[in-house]
Amino acid sequence: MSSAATTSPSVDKVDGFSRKSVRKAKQKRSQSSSQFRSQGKPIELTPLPLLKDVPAPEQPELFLKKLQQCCTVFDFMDTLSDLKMKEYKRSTLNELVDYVTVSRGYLTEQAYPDVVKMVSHNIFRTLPPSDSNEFDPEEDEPTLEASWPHLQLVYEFFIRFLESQEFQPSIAKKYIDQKFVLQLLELFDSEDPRERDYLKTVLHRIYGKFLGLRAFIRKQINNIFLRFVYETEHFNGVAELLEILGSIINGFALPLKAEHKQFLVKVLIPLHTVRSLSLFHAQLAYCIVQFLEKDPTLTEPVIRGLLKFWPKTCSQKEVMFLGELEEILDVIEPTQFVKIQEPLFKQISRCVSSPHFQVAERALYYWNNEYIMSLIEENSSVILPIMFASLYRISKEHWNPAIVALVYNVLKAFMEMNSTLFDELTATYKSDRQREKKKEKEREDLWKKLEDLELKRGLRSDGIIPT
Amino acid sequence: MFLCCSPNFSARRHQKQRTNHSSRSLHLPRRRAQPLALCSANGLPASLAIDQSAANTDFLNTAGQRAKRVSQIRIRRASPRETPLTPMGLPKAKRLKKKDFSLEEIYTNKNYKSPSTNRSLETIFEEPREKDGALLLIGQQRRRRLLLFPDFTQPRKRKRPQGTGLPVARKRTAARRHGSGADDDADSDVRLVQRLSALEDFLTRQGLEV
Repeated sequence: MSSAATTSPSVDKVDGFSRKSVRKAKQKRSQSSSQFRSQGKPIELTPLPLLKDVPAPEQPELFLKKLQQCCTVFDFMDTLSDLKMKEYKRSTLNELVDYVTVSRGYLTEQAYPDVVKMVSHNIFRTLPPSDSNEFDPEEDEPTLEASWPHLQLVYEFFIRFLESQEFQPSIAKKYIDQKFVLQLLELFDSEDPRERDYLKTVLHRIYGKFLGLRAFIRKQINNIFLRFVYETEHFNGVAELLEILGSIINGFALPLKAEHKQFLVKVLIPLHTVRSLSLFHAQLAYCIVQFLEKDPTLTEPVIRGLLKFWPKTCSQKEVMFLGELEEILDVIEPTQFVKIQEPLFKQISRCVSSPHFQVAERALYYWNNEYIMSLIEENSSVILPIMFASLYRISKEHWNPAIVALVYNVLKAFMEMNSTLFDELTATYKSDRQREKKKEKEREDLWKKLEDLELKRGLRSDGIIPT
Repeated sequence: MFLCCSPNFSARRHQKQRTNHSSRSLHLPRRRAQPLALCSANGLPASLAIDQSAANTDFLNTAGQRAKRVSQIRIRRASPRETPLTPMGLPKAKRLKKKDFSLEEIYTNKNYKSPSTNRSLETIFEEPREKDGALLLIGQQRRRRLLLFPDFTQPRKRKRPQGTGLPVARKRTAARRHGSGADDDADSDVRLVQRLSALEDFLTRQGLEV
């Protein structure tokens, strides 16, 4: 990131703004947050010497003083206010980032609460409202965080602090507690992708290092997801949280704890139902596949869950589901496959018949997958009867010629697999259609009889129509 | 609704159809997705705009105007610069490509750069692992924690070795493929068509719907 190097804070040289933006900024002043209105007079920070310019024994104390100074927050909505001081703080933060990265012996016990306090002051805030009422993450440009020039450095500093060789979780845990973590999680709703990216790294480190906070973090993430799925369908940080979860699931010990299996079934599967699935589908699918690689017996509940939530009106989601399902089938064990093949292929049969050609195509391309083909072949006596009727019908009725051609290939594959069964099914198809026609005829005859009966009755009873 | 991820179509597919290899891949001519046609600013393609001005010329003449013919007025064929669009068809935000930003640019977020898509995280062990006498909580290897869906039109390389739990019998094409592949395939086509036509004929004769 671009920033001034660790030269002396150039407080006298701040003059970066063009006249046009000065005018614009004056107009925007009214939008500033009430967080800053209490600060009546302009902020004045006394410039401190640079850390590298003081002898080593004095550095820890100077470090704390600088942390204290950086607790002052500035109003970035008012672009022109306190420019000199903003630059001073930015420069100081830069210095702190470098100091934390290279120094040794600076981390006294006193530093921990001061670091946490400085970080908290800067990052914990009410997130700015979205510019538009209905922010659609798929379509709209995100509202970028105005105070990013400072915030970015605070995050950078905090991460290096957490990753420092001198960092001791046993001391830090007094200050990085549940309350801190809760506020951190709320920030994942930030619209600014850069902030979420930093938060992801921060939370990942905290989860890794603070064993005592892990259960709490998992619980809170559960709550966020459940609220997202069942109440609001709004949260900007789902993808980032899922990425962290991916690294956690990957590290699960075997046998899997019941709590984790619950999470899979009660939280991860229902996450597939939200409208904005495309924003985090890659991360969600990764988590699902990781679970299945840890414990293949979870395959049945996972696939049944997906089938239960199969999209009925959104073709785009249907294609996503088919993609994810193929990834699951790619790692499935044959014993597990046999357990779910019936409901699975009933759904696939519906998909290949879909009038939406992309859905039909995606489903038909399962027959392009060698492993899936081998599983189908092994169980063709079960699968072919499920698929035959739709395949034949589609070969005659579908509007899209490419789909029809794909279907022909699938039929050919089935015929090659098991031509006896194929012929049997053809015969069954004929007799089914005949039986249907017979029933239809019987039904029509019955109605006709009833009509005649009504007429006769009507004529007999002196023209009075019985009600 | 236009899907964000349309499949890549392989030109080799045509070739495969001609050579008629009996591979597993489905060989058919593919429907190529048409890109959105870009129009000029007034909604008309540039050529049509020119034609319209020529028509104007005639109109003016018949109206008896003695003014300069429209066709003599030089038309600036300024083809509008393609506005870069996102896959959803919305104007793409223009990002500054430089490395050093002015103070104003920094303070107004003009230096926005998307977070790196590299984004990989180390595995976090549920139970700390012992390595060289130390307790490891976090793994060393960074990995991308998302599933990148491959192009489904391409046959895929399976990660697992074929032997894992897979029953031995793979009778069908494996054996036949070693024979004269092309003939067998054509043969299958014929047999399939025979069966399907027979079925269709039956249904038609019986007055049944498909």
